[in-house]
Amino acid sequence: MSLRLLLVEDDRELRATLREALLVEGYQVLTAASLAEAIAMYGQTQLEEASTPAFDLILLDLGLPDGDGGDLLVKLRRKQSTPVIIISAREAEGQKIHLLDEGADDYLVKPFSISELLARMRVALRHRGNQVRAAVTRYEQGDLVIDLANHRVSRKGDAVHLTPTEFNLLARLVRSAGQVVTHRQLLVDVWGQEYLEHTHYLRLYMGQLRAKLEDNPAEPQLLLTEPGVGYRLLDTES
Amino acid sequence: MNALTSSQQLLRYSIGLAIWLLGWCLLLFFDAHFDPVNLSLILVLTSALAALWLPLSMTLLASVVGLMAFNWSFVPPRGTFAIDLHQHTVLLIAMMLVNIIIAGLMVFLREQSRRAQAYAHAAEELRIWGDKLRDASEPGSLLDELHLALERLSVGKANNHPVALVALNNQLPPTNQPSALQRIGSVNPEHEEALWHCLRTGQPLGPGTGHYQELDALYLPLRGRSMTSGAALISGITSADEFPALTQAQALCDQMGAALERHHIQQQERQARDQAQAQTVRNTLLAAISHDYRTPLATIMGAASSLDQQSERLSDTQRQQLAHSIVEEADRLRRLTSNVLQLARLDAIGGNIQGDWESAEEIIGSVMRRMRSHDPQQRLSAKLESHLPLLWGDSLLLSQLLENLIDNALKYSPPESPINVSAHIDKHHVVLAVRDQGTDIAAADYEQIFEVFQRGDHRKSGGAGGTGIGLALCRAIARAHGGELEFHATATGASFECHLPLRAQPANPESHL
Repeated sequence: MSLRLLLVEDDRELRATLREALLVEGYQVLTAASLAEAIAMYGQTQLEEASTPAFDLILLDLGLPDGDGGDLLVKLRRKQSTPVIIISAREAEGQKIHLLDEGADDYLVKPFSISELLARMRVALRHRGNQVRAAVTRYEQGDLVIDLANHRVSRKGDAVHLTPTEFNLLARLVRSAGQVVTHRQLLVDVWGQEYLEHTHYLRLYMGQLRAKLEDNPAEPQLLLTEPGVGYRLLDTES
Repeated sequence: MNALTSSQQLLRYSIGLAIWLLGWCLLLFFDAHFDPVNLSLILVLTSALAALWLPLSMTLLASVVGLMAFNWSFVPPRGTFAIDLHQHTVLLIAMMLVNIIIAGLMVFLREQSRRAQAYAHAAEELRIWGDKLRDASEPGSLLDELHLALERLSVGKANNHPVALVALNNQLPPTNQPSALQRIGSVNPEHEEALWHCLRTGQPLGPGTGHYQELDALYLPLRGRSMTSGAALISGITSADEFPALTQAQALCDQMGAALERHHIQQQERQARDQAQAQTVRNTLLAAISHDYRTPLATIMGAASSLDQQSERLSDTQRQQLAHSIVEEADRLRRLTSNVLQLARLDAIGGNIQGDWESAEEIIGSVMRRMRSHDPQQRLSAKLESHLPLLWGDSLLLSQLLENLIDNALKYSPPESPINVSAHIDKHHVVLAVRDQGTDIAAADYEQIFEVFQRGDHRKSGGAGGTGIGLALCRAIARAHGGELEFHATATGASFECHLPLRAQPANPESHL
C-alpha cells in the first residue's frame, strides 16, 4: 500500500507542481488549500483521538488564507506523532526553531528542489513512530560505526575514545539522524534545562566531535551545522 | 552684588570713622596755628572723604555732630554753642550746606558706580554664559550650571530661595507628562502645574513679572525664538523687591532657551538629512535589485517558454539542458532574494545584531557544504587555524557574508583556478578570508562598489554588474559585527578579508561534564 500524504499549500501552482512530483514518486497525495480544509480532511475525531492516523506524513505551509499552519501542528501534536514537514517562505530562524521545538520534523524554506523535499520526507518517514518502536541505536556511515547500546564508536575499525558528554551529544544526534536537532533540544537533553543559554558548550563539544570523527573538520561531512538553528547528523541513506 | 555682607559694611564704617578721627586729630593739631575759618576747611575735607565710605544717613549725622563739636571747640567763645561774630554764623551755615551737598553727591556717585559695576558684572555673566552655551555640543548638559547661576542670583538678604529647573526631553507633549521633563531640584505638585503653564505659555509668572503677581514663587520660561524648552522655579518670593535680579535671571534663562531651541532644530535637520539619504540608498538598492533580477529571470523565461512552445521539436538532451538552466537560474534568484532579505533584516535592526557565540569552523563548514554544489571542478578548499576562539555574532549573516564572497570568487576568477577559504587570528581580530587567483575586477572598482551604496549613486555601479548588492551586504554585515571588510590585491590574485573583533571568551564547561 502506498503512503498517504496530506499537502497543505494555498498557492495553486505550487500545490499542483508538488502534487504531480509526489505522485510520480508513488505517493498517494491529498491536497488542502486552507486550514479549514485541512482540518476537514483530517477529520475532527482524528485530531482529538489517538486512533490510527489518516496520513503517513503532512507537508504544511504556514501562511494560509484562514490562519497559521503552525496552529494545526500544535493541535496535531497534542495527540499524534504523524510526521510534519513545514514548507514555508518565512526564513526567520526564530520561527524555524519555534516550530521544530513544537514538534515539526523538519522545516524547508521555499524555494526548494524536489530532491531536497524527497530526502527530508524519507528521513521523517523513517523516524515515524519512534516513540512506539525502539529508537535508533546503531549508526553506520562510511567507515564510521556508532553503537549506542554498547557505548562504542569506531572509525576505520579503530575504537574512538569519547568523553561522556561527547558521547551523550553524539547519541542525541544519532537518535534523530538526518533530522535537525535545535540548540535548545540538544542543551536540554544533554546538559539539562538550566543550560539553555550555553550555546557555546555546543560549539566546543561539536568542535571536539568533529576533530575526532571528521576527515576535515573545516568541511564536515557528518556533523552538519544548520546556522542559527541547530545540528544535523548526516542521514545514513543519503 | 547690591547686598553687602556685614563684614564689608563694618569695614566701610570703620574707615569712615577712622577718617573722622584723623580729621579731628588734624584740627586739634592745627588749632594753635590757624584761625577757625581755615580749620573749617579741614572739617569739610574730612566730611567729604568720610562720605566716600559712610552711608548717607551716617554722613549727614556725622556732619551735623562734627559741625556742632567744631562750634563748641573752635568757634569763639570756645566751650559753648554760642557764636560771637556774625561772620562765624555764616561760616557755619555755609559749611553745613557744603557738607550736605558733598555728602549727597558722594553717595549719588557711589550709587552710580555701584550700579555701573553691577551692570558690568551682569553683562559679563551673560557673555560668559553665552560663550558656554555656544561651545556646548549638548546645551542640556549645562542645566546644572544654569541652576547654580540662578541660585547665586537668588541669595537674598534674609533667606535663600530654592531653585528648580525643568527642561523638555523632546517635543512638548499634548498633556502634562512628568516623564517628558528633565529636572533639577525638587518641585511640589502646585509648583509643577505652574511650571507646565509657564512652559506652555512661554510667559514668566509671579511677583514682578506682570502675570499672576499673587503667586508665592517666580516662574521663568526658557524661551527661544519660537518655542519654550523649559522653565525655572525660584520659590518663596512674595514681592518683586525680594528678587531684584529678575531681568538678569530671565536673560540667563532665555539664553538657555535659545540654545536648546537651536540644538533641537539642528537635531531635526540632521534627522531629515539622514532620512533623505536613507531614502536615496533605498532607491538605489531597489534599482540595483530589479536590475540584478532581470538576468536570471530572462534565462528562466527563455528556457521555460522554449520548453512550453517548442517542446516537440527539441531533442531529449536539449530539453534536459533547458530544464537544468531553469534550475540553476532559479537558484541564483534564491540567493539574490536571500541577500535582499538579509539587507532588509540588517536595516530593520539598525545594525544591532542578535549575537550568540559562534564557531568559525561551523560557519565555514556549512558554507563550504552549500557552495560545493556550485563548484563541480573542486576549486574550493578551506584551511582553519587550530584552536580558533569563538566569535560573537549572527551565524546566518556571517554565513551569508562568506557565501557571497565565495560566489563572487567563483564567478569572477579564471575557471579552474583554486579558491581558498581560511580563518586565522591577526592580533585582536579573527579574520575570515576568501582568496582567489586573479579576478577581472580592479581594486579601485571594488572600492567604488562599496561606496556606491553609501552615497546612493547607482549610475556608477553599472560596471560591476551583479556584485553590488552582495558586496554592499558583506560590508554592512562586517560593520554590524564591529568589524570591517577589506580588499587586498595579492601577488597572485585578490583577497577579501572580514576582520571581526576578538572578544573575551565565555567560561568553558567544567571538565567532568
